[in-house]
Amino acid sequence: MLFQLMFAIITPALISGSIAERMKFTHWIVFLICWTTLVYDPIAHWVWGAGGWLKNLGALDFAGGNVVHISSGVSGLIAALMLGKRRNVGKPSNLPITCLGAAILWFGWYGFNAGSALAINDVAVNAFITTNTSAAASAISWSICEFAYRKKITSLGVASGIVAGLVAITPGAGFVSPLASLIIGLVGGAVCYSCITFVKAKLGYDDALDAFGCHGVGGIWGGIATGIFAWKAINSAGASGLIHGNPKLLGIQIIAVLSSVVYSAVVTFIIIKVINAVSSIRAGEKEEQVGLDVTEHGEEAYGGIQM
Amino acid sequence: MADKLTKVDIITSKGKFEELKKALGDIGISGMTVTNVLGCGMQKGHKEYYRGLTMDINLVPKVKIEIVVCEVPVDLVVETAKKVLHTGEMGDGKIFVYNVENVIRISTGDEGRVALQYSDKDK
Repeated sequence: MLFQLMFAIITPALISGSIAERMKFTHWIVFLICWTTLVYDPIAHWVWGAGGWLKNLGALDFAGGNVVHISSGVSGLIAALMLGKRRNVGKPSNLPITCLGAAILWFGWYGFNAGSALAINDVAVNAFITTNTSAAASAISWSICEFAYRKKITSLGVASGIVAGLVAITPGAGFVSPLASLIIGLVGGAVCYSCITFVKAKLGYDDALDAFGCHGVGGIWGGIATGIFAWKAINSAGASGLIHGNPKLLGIQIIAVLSSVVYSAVVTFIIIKVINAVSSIRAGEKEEQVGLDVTEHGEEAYGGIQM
Repeated sequence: MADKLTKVDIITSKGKFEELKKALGDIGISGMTVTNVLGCGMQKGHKEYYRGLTMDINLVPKVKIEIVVCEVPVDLVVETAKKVLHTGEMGDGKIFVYNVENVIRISTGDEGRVALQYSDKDK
């Protein structure tokens, strides 16, 4: 139960990345309670619960690609669109802490993915290896994309690539081979990089920490990739995918991905609309300029003069 | 010479600061105020990349050293600074020279040139 609770706790935290610096705190708490109950819980049940319709359909989601990443990524995008852009987008305030955070995520993700085997066995070991491989491969492909496009490889890029790779392997960690995870990571890094660098700029939405770019897009790719690369030889409780002679799984995965996307988007939209109708969800212009750390929490988080 | 008080501001790159501090100490200046500043001039900025965001950074970090002198000749201060900091490239920095109305040492109430002097027993 505690393991499942951990998933429920970590998922809405991802949405905070999209709404950063402009959402009122009490409204955020209300949103969290509503979202976890009305979006996370149903999707978790569909995918993992006894009698869940996606589980019965045969959809594979080892550690929560649909449940955690697609749901939060898409919801983050909807929230970012509904809240609007920040008035002033600054640069990252502390890259060393960001890198440390990525390292902690990588370490913790072993528990997230390998632990989803719910036992210490061959499947868990496989998930451990695929998780590590995908993260590393994605960091490399992201860096290659960055270098090709801007001639510079950034630490933030490597950190983001790592996260994208970890997300991409989440639905398939215990179902695909390590070699497949290499491909999943390489493609995942490139796809997420492209979405954040090109699509986001074109569409002009302000997803502050790229929850949609890394988690939404990464989760969607991971879900589809699981449909391609899953192999019953790795995990007899799973199924085989496209390259192992079972194209049906790919179709099922696409259904799972689409239903997660649509459901998350619609319900998140309704939740935010209702909260906003009761009281404006976005912080005022002056408050945003001063900084919500001071106006919402009465604390100076960053200190000093920043230009 | 009368008790003429002069302020000298030196704005230059951080890398040269320690060398400058030592050189100023060698000519008899041990008190100064140093701040980190951002500025622009002939040096153009650079681009920074943060995921999907490309930023043009036009302000360059520099260090500003503020000195007030009376006994030590202003020309000597300026020449010392120029000798340490000069490379011939842009980005060496600038020196500004101002008049000062008064200097007060808060602990003793000394004013003028006496406020800038440190007696031997304080060392």
